Amino acid sequence: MKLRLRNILREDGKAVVVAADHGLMIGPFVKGVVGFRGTLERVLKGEPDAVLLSPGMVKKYGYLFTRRTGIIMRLDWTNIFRSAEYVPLTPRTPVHIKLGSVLDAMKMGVDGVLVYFFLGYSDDVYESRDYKLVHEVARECEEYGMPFIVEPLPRGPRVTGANFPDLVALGVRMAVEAGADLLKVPYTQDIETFQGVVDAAEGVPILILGGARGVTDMEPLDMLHEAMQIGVNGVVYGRNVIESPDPTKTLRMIHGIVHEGLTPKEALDKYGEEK
Amino acid sequence: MSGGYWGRFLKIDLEKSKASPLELESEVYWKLIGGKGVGLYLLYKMLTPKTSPLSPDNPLILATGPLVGTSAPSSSRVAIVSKSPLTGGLLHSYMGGRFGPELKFTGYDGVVITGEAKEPMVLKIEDSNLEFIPAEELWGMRNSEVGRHLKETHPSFSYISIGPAGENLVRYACIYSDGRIAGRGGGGAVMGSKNLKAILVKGTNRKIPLHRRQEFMNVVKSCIRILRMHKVTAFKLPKDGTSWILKHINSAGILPIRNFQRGYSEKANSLSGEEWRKEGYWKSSERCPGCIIGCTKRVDGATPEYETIWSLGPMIGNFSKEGIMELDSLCDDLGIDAISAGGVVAFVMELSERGLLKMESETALTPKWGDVSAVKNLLLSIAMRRGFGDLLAEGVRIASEKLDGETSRYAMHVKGLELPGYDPRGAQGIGLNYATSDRGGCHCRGWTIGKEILGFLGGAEPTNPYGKAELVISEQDTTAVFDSSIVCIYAGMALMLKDIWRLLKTATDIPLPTPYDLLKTGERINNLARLFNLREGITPNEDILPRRLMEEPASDVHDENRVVMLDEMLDEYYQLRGWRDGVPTEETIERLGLSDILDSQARWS
Repeated sequence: MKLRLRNILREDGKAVVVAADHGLMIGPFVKGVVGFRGTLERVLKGEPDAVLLSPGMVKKYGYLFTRRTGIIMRLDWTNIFRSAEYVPLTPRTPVHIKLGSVLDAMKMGVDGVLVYFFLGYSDDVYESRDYKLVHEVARECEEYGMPFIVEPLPRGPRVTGANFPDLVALGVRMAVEAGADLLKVPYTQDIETFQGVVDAAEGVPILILGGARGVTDMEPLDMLHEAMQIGVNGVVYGRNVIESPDPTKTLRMIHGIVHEGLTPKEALDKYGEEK
Repeated sequence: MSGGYWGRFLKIDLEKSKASPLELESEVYWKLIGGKGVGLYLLYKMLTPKTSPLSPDNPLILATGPLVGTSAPSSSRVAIVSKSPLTGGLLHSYMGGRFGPELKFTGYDGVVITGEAKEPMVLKIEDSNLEFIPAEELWGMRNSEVGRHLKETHPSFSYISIGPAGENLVRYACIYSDGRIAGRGGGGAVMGSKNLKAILVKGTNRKIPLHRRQEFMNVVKSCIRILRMHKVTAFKLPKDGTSWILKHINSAGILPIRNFQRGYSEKANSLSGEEWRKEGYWKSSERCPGCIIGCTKRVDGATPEYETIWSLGPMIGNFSKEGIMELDSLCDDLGIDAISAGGVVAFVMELSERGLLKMESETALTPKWGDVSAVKNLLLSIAMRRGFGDLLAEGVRIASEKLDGETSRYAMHVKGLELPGYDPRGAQGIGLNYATSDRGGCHCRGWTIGKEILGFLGGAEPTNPYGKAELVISEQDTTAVFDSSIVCIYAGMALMLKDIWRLLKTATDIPLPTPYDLLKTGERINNLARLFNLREGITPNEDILPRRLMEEPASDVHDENRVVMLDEMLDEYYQLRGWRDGVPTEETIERLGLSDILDSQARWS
């Protein structure tokens, strides 16, 4: 294992990561992006194992981090999350580009880099370009000993409610074949179809992502607990933490589920109460 | 069958005032699920080809699905299936509320109603017991009055009813149920043609058999979690109703204004759900039994949603919320489909503007854009089939044929069904869907807007026709599964087909090894619908859009190429469907296992 990966995954091989890179893709329209320093301070009080940031926010607020919390830097950008409910400029052509290099990330002292891998667009060439980007970053990460994290996401017109789980599994496997050290993966919301995803990862640790927040804290906790039962290694939650009325308390409950093996009810009893 | 079904329908002959059970083979359910699929099967089998939709022999089928009446979320639905008086093809329309589950609790999966009652009547169904109640005094009543009367006399029953428009055979009359509407295609006229003012239903078999109950309950729990974690079903719809999308549709330049003359209006933004909420119009939220979304927003006297706000608003040049509320309430009360009503009104408004109405009797009744008071008078004339209203009660297709050739250019319909609220010149996929939908110009049986405009799941380039055939087919086949199960399509913004698959394979014993098998079931249902429409005389030549959409560039969409490029999408669509010149090939019919269904006789008893 690359040494820096220890700054993300704990000794138990699990991790609680907070995604705080929304400003890069969706701008100031997500709660917590404006006034980001305060957001980050509240998140860090909950002692996540790592936080996912854009290059600009690493540069601006990296000094806030203690040794308890690692930094994962996003090394790419896309317009595809500009869905209508957030950004009044929905994309007509999907674009995904690399930002900077792994060497830049090394100089900034981060503990891992992360890129998307999209599959499902009508243009097959688009997918091949995307996979090439994944490989380029993978090679750079190998050169510098940088943990390489991939987020495979089925997106685009060819994604259906029938093929979604298989596309997640396909994306995971392709990321693993490219050399991913860690995976950030959308949970298919059921054990039955996600088992195929876990199997496809060939033992590479999987952190599930949260997507939109739940109506209460309990939905994401319940989802996380379910996924942990089939061998997931933790979580990368963004809005479910950042938009929580009390991110510190929410993070403690998540820690309870990931690192202590608590049920959502036990985590709630021990660290918080349902809001 | 070990779950999800009773295995039988109740066949009711109004002429003879008799009923008998109609048992169906498991294979029919396995291959077509329920709702749309099984209703369509019954229609295909029972209707003599080319029968008039308003003939007593046209069956009115009310079908539930295997998930109706269970705790599956958003499954309180019923499908209305018949031959459409408006299109001459398949009518399938859906409504929420209590009626669907109550029908299922009778111990039947649905009812098939044929014949014509001698006098106006209310049909009362209580499990297997029927009562044919004379309804002379209800005839002529509006839906709200009928509802009040039925709730007083039968408080423990659920009901559906028709208003004056249905009685007078307005071809786009809807069916009403306590604020819920099965709007499209003219189901109300079919009821009216049978002298059926209302149907009351109550069942006592409230525990639906389930194949693997505990596993089913676990899947239900996870589906509820999905709905509570999706930005649309957890936040947007509960907060602002279906009209939350209006400002996005407008900003994409595809909100049809004044009969599709424009695609954007600054004033229309004030009609977005968020604005109704902020200005205090939403008095309460309503939800169907078992629904956790609650998309219905009640205002004074109406429940306007995206389509009705658009059709009775910007489509007819009206930007007043009060005006929309008045017209929406009137349409519901008279029993007129609000989308078609808006289409018809906008059509004559444009004809008037262009000087294409010749007769004084026509011009006198035709409102100017946005004249709500005059629109109300016109709607009343349509519902009562008075004067010019009598012609307009036929819908824009027939009306334009009878007026004169040039007017057809402004008749915005496909196969006779007036178009809904998305201008396809800025969203190519929805144009292909309008052209190929089995019920005519319909948006919700293959709603590509989520991907094309709203950016769901990474989006789909709206103005690019490339890849749209595949997208439309996938949306249409997925929707056919939702409509057959039956689960509300709004829940389908969060629940995926694989979730319906998980629900169905625990609720029923339908052999479904993978979600792809279920998608194939949707494909099978849509092919059967195609075969039905072909049999009834709807040819592939009618897979077409109004000329305006294919010839006049839209002015408000931001890209170039602003007409619908239908031809290239349609060729690919046919090819991917396995249709030769628009007709399913023998190989396709065989591959989908439809030849067995079409050849085998159902076991009637």
